Amino acid sequence: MNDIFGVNNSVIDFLLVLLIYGLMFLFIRYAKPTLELNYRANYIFLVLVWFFLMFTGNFLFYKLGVMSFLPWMNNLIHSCLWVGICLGWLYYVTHKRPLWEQFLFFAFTSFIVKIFENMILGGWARESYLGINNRYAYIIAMSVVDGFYPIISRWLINAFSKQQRFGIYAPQLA
Amino acid sequence: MATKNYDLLTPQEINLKSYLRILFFIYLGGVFLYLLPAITFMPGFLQPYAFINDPAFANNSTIKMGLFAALCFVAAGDVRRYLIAVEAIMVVMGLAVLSGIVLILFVNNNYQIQMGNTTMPVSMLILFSSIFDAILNIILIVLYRKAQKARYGLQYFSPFQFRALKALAEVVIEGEKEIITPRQIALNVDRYMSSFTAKTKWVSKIAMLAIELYPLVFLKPPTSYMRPEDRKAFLKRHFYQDVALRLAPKFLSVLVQAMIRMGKQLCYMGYYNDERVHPSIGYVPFSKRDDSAERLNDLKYTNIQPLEVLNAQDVKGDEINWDGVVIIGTGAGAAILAKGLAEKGKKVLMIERGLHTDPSQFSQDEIEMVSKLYADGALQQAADFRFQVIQGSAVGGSTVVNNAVCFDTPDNVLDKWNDSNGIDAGLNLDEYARCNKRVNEMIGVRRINDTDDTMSREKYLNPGGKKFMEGISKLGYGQLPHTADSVAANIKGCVGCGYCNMGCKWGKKLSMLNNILPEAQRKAGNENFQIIAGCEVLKLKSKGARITSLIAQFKNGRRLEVKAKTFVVAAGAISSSLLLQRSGIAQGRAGKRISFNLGSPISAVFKEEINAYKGLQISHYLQIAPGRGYIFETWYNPPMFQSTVMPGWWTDHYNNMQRYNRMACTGVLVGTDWNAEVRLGGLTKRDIRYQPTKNDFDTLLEGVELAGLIYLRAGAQMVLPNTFNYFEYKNEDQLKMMKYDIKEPADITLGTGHPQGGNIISRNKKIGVVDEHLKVYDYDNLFVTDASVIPSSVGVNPQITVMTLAEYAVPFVAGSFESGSLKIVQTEPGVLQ
Repeated sequence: MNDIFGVNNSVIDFLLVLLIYGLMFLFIRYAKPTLELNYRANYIFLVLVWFFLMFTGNFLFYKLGVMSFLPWMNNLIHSCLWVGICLGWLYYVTHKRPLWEQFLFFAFTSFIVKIFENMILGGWARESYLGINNRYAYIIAMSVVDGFYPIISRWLINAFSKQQRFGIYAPQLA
Repeated sequence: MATKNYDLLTPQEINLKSYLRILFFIYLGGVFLYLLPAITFMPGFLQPYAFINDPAFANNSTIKMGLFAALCFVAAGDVRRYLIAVEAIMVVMGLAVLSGIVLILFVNNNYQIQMGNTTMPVSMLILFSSIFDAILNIILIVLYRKAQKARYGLQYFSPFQFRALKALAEVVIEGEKEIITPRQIALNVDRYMSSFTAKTKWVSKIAMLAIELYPLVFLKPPTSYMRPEDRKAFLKRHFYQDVALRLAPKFLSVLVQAMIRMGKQLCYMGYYNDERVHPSIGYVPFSKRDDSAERLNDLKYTNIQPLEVLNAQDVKGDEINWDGVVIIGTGAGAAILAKGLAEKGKKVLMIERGLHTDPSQFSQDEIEMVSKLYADGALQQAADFRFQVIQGSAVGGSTVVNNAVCFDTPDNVLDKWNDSNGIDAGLNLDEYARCNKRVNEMIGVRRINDTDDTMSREKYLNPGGKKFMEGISKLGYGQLPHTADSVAANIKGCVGCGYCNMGCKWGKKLSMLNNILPEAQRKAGNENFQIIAGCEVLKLKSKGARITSLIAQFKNGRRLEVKAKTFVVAAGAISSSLLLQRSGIAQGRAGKRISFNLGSPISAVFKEEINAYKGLQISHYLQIAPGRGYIFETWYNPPMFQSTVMPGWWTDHYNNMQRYNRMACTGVLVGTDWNAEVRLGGLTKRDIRYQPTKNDFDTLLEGVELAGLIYLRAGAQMVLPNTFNYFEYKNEDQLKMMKYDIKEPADITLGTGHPQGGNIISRNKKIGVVDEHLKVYDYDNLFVTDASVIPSSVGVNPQITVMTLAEYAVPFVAGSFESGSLKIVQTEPGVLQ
């Protein structure tokens, strides 16, 4: 059970994390509360792709020793709700901003969420990382990795919109 | 000293060459790596990797890498000449990856090997090796594809498919003097396929792939690797005889037949549309004919009515609030309805999937026009790929590319529709007759006469039609009660260029594009009558019994939501049915009970030149009384179209095309039963299911045989039905054998330009999608006014029927419309926001 929920984690802990996600989502969604018609397919596509990539990636990178183990339930809600739905919306809100700005947005919001997950569920814990003996080194490194979300997403959207697959539409390429 | 001008390599080919050199050094390094320990020269850093010293391991790896190094060395020398070496590397490397995966998954003896200071299972080593091979191979494949595409300038086909097409063209176009090379044919096809967007286009790629790889099933090399003689023998044996003699299982036979039909037609299109070929078959395009100027001078007519059409860039934003009626489609039914509504002061917005091409832009290039004006580039097929459903897709719909032939709805058909024990359409036949009269006047239906208003001159009709009329007279069908005459059409002053099916450049065909739409727009004003082109409606959104909006998509993928008070679906029998299905409307009924005017052509060869292409395409018709369920319409096409319906294979087809200017052709049309359906399914999401009933098939055959007899009586040397297996009938006795040669629908080419039904009109809600007012059941503001409401096949060209039904619907649609509170945001003329 520890592999699934993590050590000593209760339902309340998970509800608390969901509450954090919810509040972050309200904050992210503030600038653009509804999806434009021409962005709906892109959003659904990004949610699904990132959910799959994150969920499997977190486990595979743990197997390769690059990441610490994320309990399955934590992995599921993080990949689906946070990376998929919340960061997907953040990309919708920020995708017309300069890339460096997007990078900072994503890295920063991810850092906040990871800190909360670490405090509440005990995930993202690693005493040292990349030779740095500090418990925040790993969380910061993983947040920086999340900063690449908009860069990879832009590439995916452009690649798929060229073929008009899955209804993906990139105005700058149309 | 003279130097030969060699073709320079493209930059992409140079990249491939460079990569092959790198690969050569990588593999050569690998060879040395494995051979060094054998000659007792093992560098210190390799000492911990004992497996390198394993003789069996070293031997296999040396052979593999040595072979790769040799192939790379040769291929890098001339990437064009030794392309096969590159392909060999790709295939073998692919096999190496595959075998690696199999070994990893099923390895039994997963022993440990020394790797530096540690050990690892041999499966892990194979995994790393396979990943390494896969990465090298992927880079090679990408560079190879880019190099090949750049070399030939390919825009649609992959190099693999292109080579299959080229190989097919080499044997399919076979005659004494071929004018252009197989490579040029394949390039023409590539140009054509890249020139339009269609949901079913990928089928052509699959067909090429299958034709290329099918020989592997018989342990023979791929089609393009065979010698032309062997290739032809293989195609004859497995694509022709297996089907014609029913040697292959039924399901395989259907696929094989579909593949070769598609492949053959593409080759013919690539060859016969090329203007260099035209003199060899005796074809002269209208612009080069001696009498063209004289004809244009004889029947002067200028029809330059400007039509303002909005494209994707003209429509800003992703939402339109339209204070009027939105009509989906711009074809026969849509345009007549739109005109009627505009005359009643209603605002009309039309949304058309096809593009807008001004008639002045129409050309003599068949490929160009097909790609611009036809749905799916005329590749729309039934689910079993045996039945072709041709429809226009452009502003003006099928009326832009049809033959403008006009027949009023036959009385017996109307009676059948209104039969209260049957379909029970509930039409008011008096009002229908008035609408029919109005439509005839509105679209300018004419016959040949001596006035300036004439449809055309007798001498400008299809000369092949006159041959048909000769045969009719000799058989005694030339007088009452039979009807044999030149056709009536919504054409004014036709000069007989013979390009009706490619759009009338001269403005003589009074199509919706040329006539009705511009007139309606002029009367209503541009701001009240707008057309958006290149925009496909995907779905209708509803709330309760009202349609609230539609979602449409431009060709570049951009979506648009259009809100309005009233919606009318008039996108044609197939598309309208699918739209209702996609929107969850009339579930279980939409798309059912589709019928056709099933058609199949028969060609006749005459001794003398008749040049049937020099005249109105469909010029004469014959209706036999009492009706036997079919009518005849003489027909002839420019070379590319004609080649696709020309019977014969190999040299037979080639020789027939050499007789192009000595041939005439007639189509037999049979109004079919309503046993077809269309549904959102299959690989194309446009699944047309149809198999002719025995009665319809027998009727068609009877008609084809009679058409053959008419031509033989007119002095034809032979008649040729468009059969899969090739048959020539040179006299009446031979013709009697036709019914034994053509046993089932797969034996003959079937097609239609007249799909009807799908959303039929009936007061019986169990079968009807629309009521007697053409309003969709259960919805207050949704109507259908196109061929999809036709409850049973009309049996003649249906455009007048479609238009009459649309005119009939005008008061009902107008009555449903309430001037509302929705607002059109208009920033500048012609720009919707």
